[in-house]
Amino acid sequence: MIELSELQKDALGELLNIGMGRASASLSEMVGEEVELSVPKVDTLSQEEAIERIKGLVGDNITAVKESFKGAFWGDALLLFPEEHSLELVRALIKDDTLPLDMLSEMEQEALTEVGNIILNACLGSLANIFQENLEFALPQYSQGSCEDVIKSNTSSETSSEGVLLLQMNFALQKTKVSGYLTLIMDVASMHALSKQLSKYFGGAV
Amino acid sequence: MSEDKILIIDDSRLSRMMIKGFTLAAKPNWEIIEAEDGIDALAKCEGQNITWMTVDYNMPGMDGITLCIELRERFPNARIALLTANIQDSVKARADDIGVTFIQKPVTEDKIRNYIEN
Repeated sequence: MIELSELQKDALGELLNIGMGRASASLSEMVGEEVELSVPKVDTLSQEEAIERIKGLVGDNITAVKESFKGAFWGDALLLFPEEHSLELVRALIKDDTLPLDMLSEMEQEALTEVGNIILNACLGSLANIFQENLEFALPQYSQGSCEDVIKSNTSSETSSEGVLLLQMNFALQKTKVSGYLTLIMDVASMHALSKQLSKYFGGAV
Repeated sequence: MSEDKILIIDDSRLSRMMIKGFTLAAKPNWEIIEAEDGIDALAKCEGQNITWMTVDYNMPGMDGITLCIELRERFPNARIALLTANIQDSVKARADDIGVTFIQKPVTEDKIRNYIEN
């Protein structure tokens, strides 16, 4: 299993914090309420451990929006919600209490995909700007199902054998009582590329 | 009679709905044309006199900057905005280089109003 030093993890957590700060400002603008953020967590785990960790936080039935990214470092960014929260979030976004449930459900997938797109872009875009690099994003992909199926089908197969870098942070809307999680999953080669970026950014101190 | 025509290009139906709604709230007489990607946009703008455009960046097929360049050739006097969640400095710089306004998503009424009223 590969490892990052405590200082590297700390630096990554801080940068994720900045990225999520930007992302939560966008989310707050969309729903018109305050978004509370957790402390970021950075770990190197096996894929199975990562799934167990995510399942413990989000539950077994989840809704996910994935955006893969590539460039100076690469991986999969996932925005995850407990399945039962997703309609509430759509309601908060559309801000129309009169919309019938069937229409709300019809909009659910598109609305959450766009939210995922905005949040993941804001977070990853901030990281790219900090490192003065350019990242390319794939189109956002929506999925729903068991935590294990969703994570396995949304991360590239090479990530499974050597372990993954899991960066995670959760956010909660106070009024709407909706919470969600942002995770970045990277393979070993990408983790090395990212640690080079950290050294460059922190002038060799990290 | 319609005063202006705006072409809204975004692969998200929700985003198009919001941009359209906020545009019509500020400019009820404007004609709206919606397109879901670059190919659709280029087909729908054929023979039209379009004065305003909002273009998403991350779409299937052609990316928003490439599309803006194509649209600029066809409509040299149109006001074009890249309306995107992609906040990277590199994307902003490219928008700037081709004379396109950069608007950061999420779409809000204020952002659309500022764009079409200034």
